Amino acid sequence: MNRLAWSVFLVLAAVVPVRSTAAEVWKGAWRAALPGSEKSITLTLSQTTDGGIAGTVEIDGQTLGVTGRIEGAWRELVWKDAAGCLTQFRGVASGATWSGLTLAGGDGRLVDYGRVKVTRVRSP
Amino acid sequence: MRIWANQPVWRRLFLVTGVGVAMVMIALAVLRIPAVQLALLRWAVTHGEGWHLDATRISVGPGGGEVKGVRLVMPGLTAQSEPGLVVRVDPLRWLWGKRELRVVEANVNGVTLALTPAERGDETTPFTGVLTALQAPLPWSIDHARLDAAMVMTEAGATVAKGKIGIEGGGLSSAGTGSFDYGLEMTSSVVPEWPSAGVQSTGRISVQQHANHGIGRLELRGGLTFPAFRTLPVVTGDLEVTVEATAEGERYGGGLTLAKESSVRWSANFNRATGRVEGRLTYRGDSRLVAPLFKVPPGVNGEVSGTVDFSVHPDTGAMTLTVDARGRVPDLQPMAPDWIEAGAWVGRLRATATRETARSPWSMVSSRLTIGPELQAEAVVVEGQGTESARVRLQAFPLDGLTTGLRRWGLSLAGGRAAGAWQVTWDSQRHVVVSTLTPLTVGPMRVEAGGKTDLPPVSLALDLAAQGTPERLEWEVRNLRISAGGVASSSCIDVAARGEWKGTGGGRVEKALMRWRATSAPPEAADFLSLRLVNPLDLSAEGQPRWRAGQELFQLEANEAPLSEFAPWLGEWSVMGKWRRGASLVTVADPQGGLALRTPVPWQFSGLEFGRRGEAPLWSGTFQVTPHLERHGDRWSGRCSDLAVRDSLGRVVTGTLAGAWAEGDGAYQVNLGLASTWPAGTLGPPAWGEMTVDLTLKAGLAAETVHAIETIEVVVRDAHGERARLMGAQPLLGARRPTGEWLLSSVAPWKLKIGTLPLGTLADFLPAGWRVEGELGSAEFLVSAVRDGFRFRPLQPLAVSRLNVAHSGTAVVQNADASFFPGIDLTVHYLMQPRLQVGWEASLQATEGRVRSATGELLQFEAAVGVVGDDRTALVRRVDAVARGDLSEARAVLPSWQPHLPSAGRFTARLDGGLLAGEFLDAWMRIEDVPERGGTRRLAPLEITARGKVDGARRTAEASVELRLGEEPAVSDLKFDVHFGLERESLRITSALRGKRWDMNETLAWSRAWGEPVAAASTSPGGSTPAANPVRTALGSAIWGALRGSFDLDLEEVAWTPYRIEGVRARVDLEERRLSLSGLGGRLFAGTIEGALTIDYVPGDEDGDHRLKGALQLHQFETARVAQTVFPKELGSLDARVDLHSEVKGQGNRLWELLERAEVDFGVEGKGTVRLTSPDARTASTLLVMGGLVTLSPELRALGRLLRKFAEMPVDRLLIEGGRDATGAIRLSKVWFDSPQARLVGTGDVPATSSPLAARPLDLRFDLSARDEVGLILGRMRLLESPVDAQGFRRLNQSIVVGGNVGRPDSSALYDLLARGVEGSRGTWGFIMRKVQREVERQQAQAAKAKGKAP
Repeated sequence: MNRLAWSVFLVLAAVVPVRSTAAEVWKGAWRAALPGSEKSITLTLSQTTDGGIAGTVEIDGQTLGVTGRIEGAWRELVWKDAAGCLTQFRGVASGATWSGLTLAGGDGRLVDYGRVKVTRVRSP
Repeated sequence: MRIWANQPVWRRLFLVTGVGVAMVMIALAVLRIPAVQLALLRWAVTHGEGWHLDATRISVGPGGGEVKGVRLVMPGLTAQSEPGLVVRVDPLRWLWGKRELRVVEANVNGVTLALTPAERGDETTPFTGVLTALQAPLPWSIDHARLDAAMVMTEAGATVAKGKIGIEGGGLSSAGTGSFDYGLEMTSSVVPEWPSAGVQSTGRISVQQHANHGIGRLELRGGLTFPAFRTLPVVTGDLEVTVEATAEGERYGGGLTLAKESSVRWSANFNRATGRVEGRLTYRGDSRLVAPLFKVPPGVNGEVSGTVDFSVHPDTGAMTLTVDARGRVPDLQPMAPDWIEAGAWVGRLRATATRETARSPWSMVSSRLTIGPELQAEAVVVEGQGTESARVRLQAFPLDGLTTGLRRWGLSLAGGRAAGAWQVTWDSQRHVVVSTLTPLTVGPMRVEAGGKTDLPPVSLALDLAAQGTPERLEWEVRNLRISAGGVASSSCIDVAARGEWKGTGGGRVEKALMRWRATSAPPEAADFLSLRLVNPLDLSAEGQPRWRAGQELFQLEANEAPLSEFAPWLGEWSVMGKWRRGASLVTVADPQGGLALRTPVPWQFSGLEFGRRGEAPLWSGTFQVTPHLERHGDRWSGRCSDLAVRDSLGRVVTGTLAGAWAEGDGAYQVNLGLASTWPAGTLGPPAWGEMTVDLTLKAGLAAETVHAIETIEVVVRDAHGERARLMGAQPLLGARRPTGEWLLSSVAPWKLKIGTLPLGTLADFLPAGWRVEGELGSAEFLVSAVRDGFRFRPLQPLAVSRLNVAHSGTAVVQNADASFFPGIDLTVHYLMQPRLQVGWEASLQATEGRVRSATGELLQFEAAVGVVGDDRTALVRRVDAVARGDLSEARAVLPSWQPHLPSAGRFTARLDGGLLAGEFLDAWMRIEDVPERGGTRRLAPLEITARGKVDGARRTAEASVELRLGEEPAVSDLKFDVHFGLERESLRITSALRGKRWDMNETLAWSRAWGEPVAAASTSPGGSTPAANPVRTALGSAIWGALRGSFDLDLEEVAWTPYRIEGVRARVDLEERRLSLSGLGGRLFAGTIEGALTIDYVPGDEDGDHRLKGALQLHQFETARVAQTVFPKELGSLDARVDLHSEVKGQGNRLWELLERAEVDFGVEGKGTVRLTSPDARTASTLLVMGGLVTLSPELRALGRLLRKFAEMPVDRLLIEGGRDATGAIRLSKVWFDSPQARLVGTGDVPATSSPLAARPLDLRFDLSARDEVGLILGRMRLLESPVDAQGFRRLNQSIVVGGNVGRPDSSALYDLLARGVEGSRGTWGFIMRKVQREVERQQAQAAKAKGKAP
């Protein structure tokens, strides 16, 4: 292995772990449209190579996988809980604030509305 | 004749003795004859008239006697004893000793005493006293006596009381007090249910004789026991009776004390001379004694006390009674705690009555009864008039106490008083007549009903009359008149009833009629409303009706009854119209009291107007219903058939309402079937045409507290078919909380379908000038009830297609399609007390919203709006929305926005926060990818961040706003606070406008981009080719829009390439049509800048609706810095500190237009150190000077000095005057340089180009005058004219042209002139100058070549 190969290897070795820890973390609250319920929510997200985002969402201690996409300030996420309820979160992120609306339903249930407001606690 | 005169004494004595003995024997013998004994006994006993004694056997001997079968009859008394009387006496006491009748033993057994008081009163048996009946001619004593008797008291042949008495005792003598124990028990049949045990009394009777062998004093002391009677417990007391003989007659005294709470004491004297017994009876009573009997509730402790003065003539029965009785009840409320709140009440009765004999009727001499509250003792006054009439008066009788009872109906009274007077007469047959002396008036009283406190004070007046006996009574209320607020109604109510009462036999209501009629109507006129008892109604002994199945009871008839009479009672509401017609019949449905109401003639109401008082009616029309009701026990059922409601707009509702319900458990069932017709325009816009709404509903009580709408269907149709349908096939359940609120739950969602709607049909709902076209697509929702609210969930997106909106003929939205999923979460809150208050909370959702133009997608959005409200108000509580869109598509959809929008660009926006209760509302927007006008460069992105609060009450908002233009590190920022008035849509800056840096070039570029000209409407058939001459339209508003206010401008730096103004300060005043910038200050090019300007908005000016006017002064700025800023790599060619003053004016539709098209008149003035420097000239000058030194040529040195002077020419004065026209061309009308050896006076022009001013071409023409050394040199070069002016200057014989740029003037023409001057010279001077000329030309060629290589 020549010097160039070693250099490439070292660069990649340095970059890969950086990417794995380059997640942004957002924390906040998820409130139902009607008053009465509020859940804490934590989003841990990383950009994927195809321009999307992936990560996890932690809702009141339950961690779920989440996928989505970023288009400028516009962000969309989707996750599904263990009961089969699909939640779609569309919002706008600016600065350290990201808020938007959720639509949860599926599995034979009526749709429930909600809103999420999170603030960034860690940048990538 | 003295036959005994010759007889011896002994004979005489013997004869006499013998005769005497014989006589005695005979007498004794005779006395032993029963008939004689009976006769003697009758003689001894039967003193008075009517007295009669009889006996079946009498045996009286010296030692005693026995009488059997004795029967003694006296008026009012019959004593009868079969065993009779056995008396044993001591005969020796007749002979020896004290000589008295000593009754050793007396037994009276089996005596029956029959008392008939009614037979007494004979004047022939005068009453001489109680004790006189026990008088004896001889001294007497009783050692022991015993009496057993039974007593029976009869009245009119009926036994009213009976009892038995036993007396046993003795020791009675003239010297000793006899003591007899007695026992008495009496029962009475007068009092129903009187216990068989009767009244018992035991005690002792003490008897004393007086000197005349009679009873001198009789005293009875004993206990008295009343048996338990009904709910009354056993009552014990003490009885004391004394009878004492006095010289005038007798004295009576005594008393009865019961339970230490009630007592009666009496004291009287019998006067033998007058034959009267006169005395006083004093009594004190406590209701607690009889409370158990009358079920007096605890807490009611009535007291009564008083005196009865009496005077009785026992012989005749004549009697006079004077009664003074007082009673007090500390609190009557416990008597009926749910009805009255009466406090303490008192009463007093004062009456005097007499009667002539025992059989003659009582005559009331005077009587007066007063009853009333403690503070108003005479609220009720009854004044007797003899014994058969009385006058009853009510005097300000307080009615407040009735409020307690009225509260159950939601009523309360305040301040009401009743007054009236009646004459009451009765006769011996108990026939009573009550007639009105003064009508009963009640009020004015303030009635509160159903929480309404604004009802007018009410007064009633009526005539009350009655007659009959207690068993059969007729009563009548006539002329019941009601006045409210001092205004008497025009109608009155008459109520008449007649019935009889037979005590335990029950009674009957024979006639009852209530009539409501006009006050002024003649008697024969038809009543407004009448309620008539059709058939007599029998009553039981308890007063309950005796029903007969099928019996017709009441008939109700209405005839043009004016509902306006109810107006005073409706508070803020008003009802007009008439109950025109109607008749119903109430019949007995079953013997257990079931009733049925049948309506043979429908109830018809006409001319109805319902609404708030003083306002236009909320509803008016006619109403008809045929009610049928039936009640069996607590079960009701009813049906309203032929229901027909028509309002003034022609809306008609017909149908049937049927239901059943139970009073006990509240169970009910309702079936509703209604069909309604709505004329065009009454349900929806007129374009919808006539609409019909059909409602079918079945509801009821599903469980104990759970109500259910079991099925429901609502169908709305128009001429084209179904518009909407609500279907509920599964129950919607609702249960009431203890607080009165409802908990809802649907078993399965209901379904709501809404048909397509042409938006053009909504034209009537739009404000004037607006027009909408397009179609709202069909929608289908699931409607479910959750807890206390409803949720509407869409099954498909709601689409709006081909949306076109125009205002005043101008297209606002064109060819837009939109779709979104609409959802509603609706929660209803309400309070039941103190009055029904309804509030609601809704969250309106729009998800996956899209707005499309014909060419692409304009907008994508998600939105949620939280709204709260009540029955009158709706307030937006919260907004959450995110959106992103394409500005180029917006231009296509929003033509009226085109003047405001750039040709392209994208935006992303977010709005979230609360609008109530001081919550923050955050807004953020980023606009990016906006191209530069006429170019391809993307402008720096613009971010607007706002955070504020909305004051809903004042309809204002306060926010802090931050604008960021560009990206780091070259970001422009502005921060300021704004006040937003929602009412007038005014936006006012309330703080200083601060920023660290602001890029004016980018701002103007944004201004240009957002004001992108619009292609002319008709360009080419395809419409794709832009117009050759774009039409610039006016904004239609001031460029500062709705922004208002006065604020300070504080910018650390304004970058306006190539310039940079530091420390910009100004005062900005924004008015509707003027923007004023005053006190402008800053630093520019080492100088200071001052100025002021105004922009006036003049709508309608075709040349531009904004006019700019201002003045600007720059003090002591360095011109060299200007040149260095424009040409940073070159030294400045004009180095001076000058003052600049300018007057600016302009006209345009945009800010950048105002600046670009500004016309400026300016003047520049500098003194002292103005230098016109030229590197090229300086080089040449240096060369010439060096050449002069080398060649030692004085001419060459002189020329070098001249060039140096031109290259760096100190002037005493610099003056430039000129102007800028609207195209940007600059005209220099006067340029004046005044130096010690030269004077330059010229004019020039700077043509309009898009480059900065300093880089623009300069065209300057000078006339040069010189003197001194310069004049000498130029003169020797033959360039000066001959004349010399006053200052010694000689004018150059040709003009000098200066070109180049404003910031870098090209003075080469001067050198050309000098060169040409050299050409005319001769000798060494000419040689040198030609070399200089060539060098200059070479340098110019090199410079031109270098420029040509530059890109």
